[in-house]
Amino acid sequence: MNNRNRSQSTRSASGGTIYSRIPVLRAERGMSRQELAEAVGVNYQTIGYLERGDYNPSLELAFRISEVFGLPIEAIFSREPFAPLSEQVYGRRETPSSRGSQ
Amino acid sequence: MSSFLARLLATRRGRRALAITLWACYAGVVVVRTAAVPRQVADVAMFVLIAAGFFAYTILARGLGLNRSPLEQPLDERERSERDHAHYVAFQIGNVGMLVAVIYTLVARQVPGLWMPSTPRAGLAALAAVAVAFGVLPATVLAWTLPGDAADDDEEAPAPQPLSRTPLPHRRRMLMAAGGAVFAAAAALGGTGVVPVLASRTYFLLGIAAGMWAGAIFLTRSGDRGRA
Repeated sequence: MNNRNRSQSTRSASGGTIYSRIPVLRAERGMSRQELAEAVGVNYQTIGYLERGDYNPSLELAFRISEVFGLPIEAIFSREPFAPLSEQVYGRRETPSSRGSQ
Repeated sequence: MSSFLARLLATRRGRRALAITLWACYAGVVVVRTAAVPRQVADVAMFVLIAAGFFAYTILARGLGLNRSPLEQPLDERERSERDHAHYVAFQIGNVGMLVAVIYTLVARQVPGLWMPSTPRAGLAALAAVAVAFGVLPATVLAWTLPGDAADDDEEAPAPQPLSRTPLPHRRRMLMAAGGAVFAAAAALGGTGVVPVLASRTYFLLGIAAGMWAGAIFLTRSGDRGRA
């Protein structure tokens, strides 16, 4: 059983996954999971759950995270998967060949 | 508590081993109570099994944050959600268990040879067994379902912290120790024959006393709201 199946209980009642940009934002700011967890007042494992989409945050936690990053909530969380950064920057889809050349 | 126990609790296998130990002790108590075991052996076996089961449950409940002191930092929302779900699952399992028990009693009335509590004492023991099973189910469900730290793909994961003793107000710890002394005194009165009615309960009373003392001395510490 994988992580995703194991933690279904922690998702929303509708079963939908909330996708997040937390890993990218953490990397940009050189922040560890532990540091982010301390900043928002949760266990460091909870950050991992959020990043994997295994846990949907409460509105309060989402607001706290958005305050830490100084971004609106919709810039961090989405009900749809975020498009790859390369697609957003260069306006084209990432292909296997371009992925391999990186 | 030791860092060994913290490492044990950090892995799914370790938590499951503790849960299995707990239920093995539970099953052992039921077997000793119902099998034709010599009285002295049964008393000692009961004491050992209850102590081991109590220890396993205490470690599980403490390590999984099920019996958290109000002096400690509260669990975060995901952890609370996991524990709520464990209680929900335990409740469902308990419901099924109760249904099975009711069906069993209906069948056992008709089928000779099937065990049924025939005395008030046996009925009380069965009730106690059900109550204990209900009490330990949430910890078991949580121990069984929580993913291990190894499943977390976090390379920065901090090492498991040694389990600290539960912070409690000093007065409550003293009350616990005093309660243990009362039960130990009752066990002594029964064991020495001063109060014959307690003679058959000596090991049981001693077990409760040991549990209360263990709680007061080894499992808790005096804490303040500000520092815990």
